[in-house]
Amino acid sequence: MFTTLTEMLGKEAAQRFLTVAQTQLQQYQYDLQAGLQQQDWHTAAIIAHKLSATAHLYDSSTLPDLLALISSQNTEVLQQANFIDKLNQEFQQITSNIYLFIDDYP
Amino acid sequence: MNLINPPINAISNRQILLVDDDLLLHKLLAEYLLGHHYHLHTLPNGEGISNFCQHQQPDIILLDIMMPGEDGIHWLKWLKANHPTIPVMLLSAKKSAQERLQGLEVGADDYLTKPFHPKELLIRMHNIMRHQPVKHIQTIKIGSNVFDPEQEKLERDNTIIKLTAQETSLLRFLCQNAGQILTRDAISHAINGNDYHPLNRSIDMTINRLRKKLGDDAHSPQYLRTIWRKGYRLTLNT
Repeated sequence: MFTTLTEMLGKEAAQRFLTVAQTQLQQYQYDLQAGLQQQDWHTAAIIAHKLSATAHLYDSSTLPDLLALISSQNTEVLQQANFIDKLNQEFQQITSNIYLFIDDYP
Repeated sequence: MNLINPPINAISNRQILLVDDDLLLHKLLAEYLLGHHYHLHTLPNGEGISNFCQHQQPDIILLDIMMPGEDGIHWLKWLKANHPTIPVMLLSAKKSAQERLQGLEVGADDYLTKPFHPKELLIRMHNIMRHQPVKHIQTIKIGSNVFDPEQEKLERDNTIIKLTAQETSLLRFLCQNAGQILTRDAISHAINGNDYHPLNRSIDMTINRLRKKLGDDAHSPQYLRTIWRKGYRLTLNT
């Protein structure tokens, strides 16, 4: 779990980073969901664009792809009924992994 | 020599300033760079750069392009005008060649596209700092004063007069535009990176302090003249 990040920072520093990331990711999820629900594609794209800089650190191949779709304002895909669900599922999976990773600290 | 892990004593004082509104990137780089004996200072936008640089000079500035308020290119231009010796690396998620070229034309020392591996950042920073050319100190003569922008000082009659960072920035800008009338707006943009507010007297107060340090007569200045309702003009040789 979080092998990219652990290789980069070491386990202790990775845990400190993920502790901060936990709160930040919740805010990103909330802001993205609000932007998509309100069809404010531009705002959602700016948020996705910013999160893209660190999205690869969570060992999720799906999150960077979903963010790329939001960044490119691909409205045909963004308006699909299950897009927001997919995004939320991915955030939830990452958040659960973070909890496990942080808890696994002596 | 190992570029990634040079001896601690060789780099332990390296100060990096990251200007970016991404708090996760702040945390990631703070952890990574600390592990490599660099100290990271962070700002969420460019508004604080002027104040930061008045108190300390970072070894390098990492500057995001897309930020709230003025963008990174604006602050890069400001830095090159006011702190030309500090290397700047631009960071951006955009991949357009045009943006890269614009940044490099304005004087960025390098450009890194997000997402990036912190190791790549470290190598690039190291290369920039290692290859910094030896800076030739250029002095400017203002009447009987010799102005040294690098050392932030004036010298007159074998006496050294220390300048603050704000005074140095202002005097450097005036010297770059000697003989021209400079409005308070232009001065504020050049030294603070923002619009002039009529109620803010800091420019006029800095001008007054500079006059004293230049040995200018406050009532009938020879070098730093007030141009009524327009601004100020510096004359290098009277």
